[in-house]
Amino acid sequence: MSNRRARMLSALVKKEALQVLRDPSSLLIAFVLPPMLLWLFANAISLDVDDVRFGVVLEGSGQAAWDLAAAYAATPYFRVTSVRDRRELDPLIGTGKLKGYVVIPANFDRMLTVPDGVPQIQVITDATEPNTAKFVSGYAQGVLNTWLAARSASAGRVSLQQRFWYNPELDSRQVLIPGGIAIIMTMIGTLLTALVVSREWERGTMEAMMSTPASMAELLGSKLAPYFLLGMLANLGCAFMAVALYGVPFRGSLAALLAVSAVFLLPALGSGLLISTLVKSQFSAAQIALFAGFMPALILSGYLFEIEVMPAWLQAITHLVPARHYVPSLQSIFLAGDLWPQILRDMAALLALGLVFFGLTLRRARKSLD
Amino acid sequence: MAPQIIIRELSKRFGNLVALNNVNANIQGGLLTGLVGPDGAGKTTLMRILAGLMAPTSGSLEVAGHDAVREAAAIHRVTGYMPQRFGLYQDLSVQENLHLYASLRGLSKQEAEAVFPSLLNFTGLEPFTKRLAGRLSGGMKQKLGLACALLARPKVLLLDEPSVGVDPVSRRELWKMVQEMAGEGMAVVWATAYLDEAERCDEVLLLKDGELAYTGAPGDLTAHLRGRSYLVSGLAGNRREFLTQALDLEAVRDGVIQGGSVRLVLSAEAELAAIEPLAQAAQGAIAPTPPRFEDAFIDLLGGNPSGRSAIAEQMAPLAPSDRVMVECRELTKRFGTFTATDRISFAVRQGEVFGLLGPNGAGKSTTFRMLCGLLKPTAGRAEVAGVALRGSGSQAKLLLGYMAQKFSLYGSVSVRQNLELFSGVYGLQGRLRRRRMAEMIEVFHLQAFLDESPEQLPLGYKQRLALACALMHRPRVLFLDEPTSGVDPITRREFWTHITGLVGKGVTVLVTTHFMDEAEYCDRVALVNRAQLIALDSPDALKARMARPDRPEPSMEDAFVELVLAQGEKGREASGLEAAA
Amino acid sequence: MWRRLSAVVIKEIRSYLRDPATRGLVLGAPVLQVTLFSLAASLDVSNIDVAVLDQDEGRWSHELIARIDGATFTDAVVAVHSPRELSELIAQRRALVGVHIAADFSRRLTAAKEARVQLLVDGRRANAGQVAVNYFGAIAEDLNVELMASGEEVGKAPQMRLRHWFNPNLNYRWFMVVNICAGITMMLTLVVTALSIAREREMGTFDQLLVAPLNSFEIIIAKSVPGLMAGGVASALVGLLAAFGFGVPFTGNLPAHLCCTLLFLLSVVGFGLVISSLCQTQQQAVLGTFFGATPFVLTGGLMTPVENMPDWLQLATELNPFKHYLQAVQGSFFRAQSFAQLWPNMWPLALIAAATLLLATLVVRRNLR
Repeated sequence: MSNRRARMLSALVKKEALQVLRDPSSLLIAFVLPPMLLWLFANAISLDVDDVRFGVVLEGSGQAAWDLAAAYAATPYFRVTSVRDRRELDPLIGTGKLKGYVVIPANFDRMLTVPDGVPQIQVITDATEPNTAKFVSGYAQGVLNTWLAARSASAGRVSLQQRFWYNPELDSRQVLIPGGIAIIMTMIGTLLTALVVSREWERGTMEAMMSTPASMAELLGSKLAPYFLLGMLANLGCAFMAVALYGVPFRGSLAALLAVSAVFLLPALGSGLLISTLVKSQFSAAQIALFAGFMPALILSGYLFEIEVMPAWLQAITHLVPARHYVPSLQSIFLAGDLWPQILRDMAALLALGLVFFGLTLRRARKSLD
Repeated sequence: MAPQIIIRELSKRFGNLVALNNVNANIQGGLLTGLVGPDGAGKTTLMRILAGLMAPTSGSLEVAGHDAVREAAAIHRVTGYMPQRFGLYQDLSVQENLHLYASLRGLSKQEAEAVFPSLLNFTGLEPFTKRLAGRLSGGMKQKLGLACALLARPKVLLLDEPSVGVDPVSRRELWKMVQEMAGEGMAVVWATAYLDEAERCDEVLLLKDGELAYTGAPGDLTAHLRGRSYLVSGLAGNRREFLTQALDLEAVRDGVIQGGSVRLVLSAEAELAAIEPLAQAAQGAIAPTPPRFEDAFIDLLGGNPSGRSAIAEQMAPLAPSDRVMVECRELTKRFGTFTATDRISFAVRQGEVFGLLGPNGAGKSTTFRMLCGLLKPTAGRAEVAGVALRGSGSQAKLLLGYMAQKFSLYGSVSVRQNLELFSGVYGLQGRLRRRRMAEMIEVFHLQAFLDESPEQLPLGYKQRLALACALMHRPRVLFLDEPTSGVDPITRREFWTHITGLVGKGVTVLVTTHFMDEAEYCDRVALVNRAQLIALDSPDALKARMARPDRPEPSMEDAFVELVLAQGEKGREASGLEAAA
Repeated sequence: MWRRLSAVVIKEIRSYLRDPATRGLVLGAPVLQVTLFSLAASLDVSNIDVAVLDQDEGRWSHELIARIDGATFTDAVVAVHSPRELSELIAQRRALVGVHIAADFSRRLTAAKEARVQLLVDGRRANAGQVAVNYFGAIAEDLNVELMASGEEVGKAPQMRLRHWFNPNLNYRWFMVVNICAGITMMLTLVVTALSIAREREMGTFDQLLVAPLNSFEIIIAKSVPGLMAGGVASALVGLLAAFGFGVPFTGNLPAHLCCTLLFLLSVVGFGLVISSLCQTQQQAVLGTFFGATPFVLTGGLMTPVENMPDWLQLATELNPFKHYLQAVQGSFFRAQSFAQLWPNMWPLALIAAATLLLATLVVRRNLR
């Protein structure tokens, strides 16, 4: 590259950097948005079901029935309301105030003792939110089994011992916060870039730029450096907040985090550039960035929803979402450590996506107003 | 010397639309070439092709020895291009914009440092190098745009309507600078809607419907009109009435009001005798006057449209009265520490055309917006028909018709639907509503565009539609904020025909403009500069005030420029005193 | 007044429908998004890969592995031969759960003793891991019942009869479709409304409205129309899609549901108008929408239940119209709630709508005074 070219590029980069510093909306997206989102991810999104409101209907009065009811009342996961009549609880289920209840019938003790008796308990759940219903019924079964095991010690018994690797307490925050960084970085890369480039079209500065000897690749490329830097800064800030504020462990290395984040920014910035060269108006660019950048990052990246559960064609689509290749690496770097085979695989995918987006952008953005 | 730009059989089509058709021209270095033509004639398209931003559909183009199609990159190195919107980064300072363009144009640091002082000095931007471009006035933005285009000493300088919406003082300064550049051998192409500028160019290219209608020195075109231009002065009656009648005559090709007089251009076959009876009836004296380029331009494009306003003729005259319709008393508006208008006072009587003139950023629009109730005065009062409009009820607002500076109709609904909206908002209904709409559609020739979006219309039609929307409810007071900015002379004449007609029926009109020939139409003009009212009088009186022995008959523009500069001196002295104290 | 108002309202409607792109946005985008996102968004677990290290190779370990293999939630069951291999598969995310069966497993069971199975779960996939552990628990319990039956008589095991109300088959997609429908409706309504005044300001047309004989109240009513329309059409469309496309049962009271929807749309429109009347440019309005809508969506219970949030945050969500609407929608679709049962969600919506619309009117009035 000739000296003149170098000067041209550095001037463009400098211009872009000055604009970032003077544009309140860039600063808002880069420095206010990340803590806000991180805070929401830490507090508002939680998969940890505990303190579920649960009812126990004790219709019987025998020792066994009473004993079982006490076992239910003692579970740490339930906040228990005990009543004698199930009719008191039905309306509470209907309004969602109670997530489920167990009925221990009046004949419970008798059925346990008479020869042909089949003792039964009934569990009702509010299945409006099926996941909670599943947890409730699972716990209800678990309590029953534990109670039973205590009564019959003479049979062989399989007991499961679970160990959650990398996240022994199974705190969903520790998983959601590192993953959330991917979504924040998507917003910075895609939304911000889409907005700044389309603004140049709207304000007519692109026309003046195109009449200079700078090439289209240089004009667009120079946009990347400042936003890349901004993205990396936000990345470090988020990582710091995750560890210092929200107590997420950091078991990998900073080098790995920076490496994979840097590569992630390529497709993130690239898709922003692509959007803005396609639509050229800030309004449309922002909408597309939200619906084609933010939402897929949230829903199709495996951040919250398991990709394996999705239909096969949708699983294929998720490969086009950069965050999908970034979330696993982030989670590993924070919780597990530098698992290079996986990180390198992700980086390769991100690099490929980045090349595709840049290639498409350069093909679309020819230096002409035609 | 070989021409710097050679255009051969150049055509440009967008789909079915022919923007340029078989244009042939040579543009010389060292000359200032004006590019003129009515709206939609293809001026901007030609500029963009010359700047290497568009490829022609057919034909060839050579710029400074480079073929435009095969060596587009080379063209970018030898041309300086200033687009209509100047292409400045609003959030970068003057200095930063210059640095950026210097690097983009491939100047080394030393080269750049060497040209900056002279450019800054040349453009008068030296004191403002740290100011953000977005905070500069229109005139200063334009100079900065020019400085950026000039950085690499281009062989060809392309300026696309640099003077739209810019006041006469700034325009004059820009003109001087560009002339200097041409003097050094640069080829300058200047697209403009101002025909007085075109007149001063060395060469003009006149585009009409995408074709080159004339090319050559402007004086040669003007020369055809020798002996056809006359000034009728000393009119006893209403000069507007006289103009209307004169334009009815077969023999009159064009006519405009010039202060207290009327300027007429006769058609080629006509004799002076054709207008004599009319002038005699009005006790006016006819004197020959030198032709202008504008006369030739209008003649070439088919002459002045009818002098009768169909809208005004439909309208019942308002009872004549001496009532004050619009009044400002000590009107002051401050934005933070910045004073936009400072104790401005004036009163406009019914049936008056009142012009508000002044440089960009002087406070004209702010005054307008306060009168219309869009801004709250910091101090003083702004009243229309004795009522302060801000916060007033619907009845008072019905008096008012408002046409904003920026085109502001709904692009998202069709032309017809815009008319329906504004007639409805102003409470028209049923037969009356349909009748008024039909009237507007006919008078403003909107029939062909009814189902299109206003955004798709040529500029002239946009402004016509905006005026139609402001007129449908027959307002008694009409506020027009730069209604003709960037509009071609034919459409501007049509506008003034309507204004003249409406005023004849007793409507009061307040208008701002940067066209000094339009200021001549006003009964009185108020000159605002640096937030203050510096002069308030009839155009003729203002001109007379600025007469000097060496220039006994100054133009309106001369008067404007000198009044503004005189106050500028005073202002500078005052701020100097402040600094000293 | 009605004449003037109707002129502006008609213009708003026309302006909205003229542009094919916005028509597409109202009709096409919600359907596409609901379909795509509800197929994607599932907290259920299936097709998981399991690694098994069987050091026992006895009768009961084979039985256990057969049951794991046969379960519907598993995909591939990979046999490994060392603890190292097991941990490697989990670390590289090739298996969600590793099952380690010790050498004395069958022996202990036959001897009527407790036999432990170790489950190693990838904690990086917290939700999936937890759901999977539940499934494994069920498998183990089934095995235990069989073991008890084969063992000596020790008393009876009570049966648990389980009934899931409102969604008997625990179809997770039903839940998500309904939620996403509400979410998309909100986003669309908010964006359309938030841009309405800001766009007019940027284009300069807002001045024309201010100069015209309209008062702030009329302007607010007119500006509410596009948002209400877009939101109304979108919610009807996605509602039908949910009911007939995804087969979600609608058990509630339709008029009551429509009433809730209207109140919700009004509250969102009010919120959008506040953003819009404060913003000078569309860019600001878009950012305002994003900063406003994201907390609404995330704290409204769209993705994870409100009950899982900290108590203080749950309290704050009372101000979130989206939360109330989600509960109302779930009440109408699943819980067969009557008008009276929906009331606790209706009055907060009405209150929020009144407050935001009033605030927006005041801001616009400030422009007029």
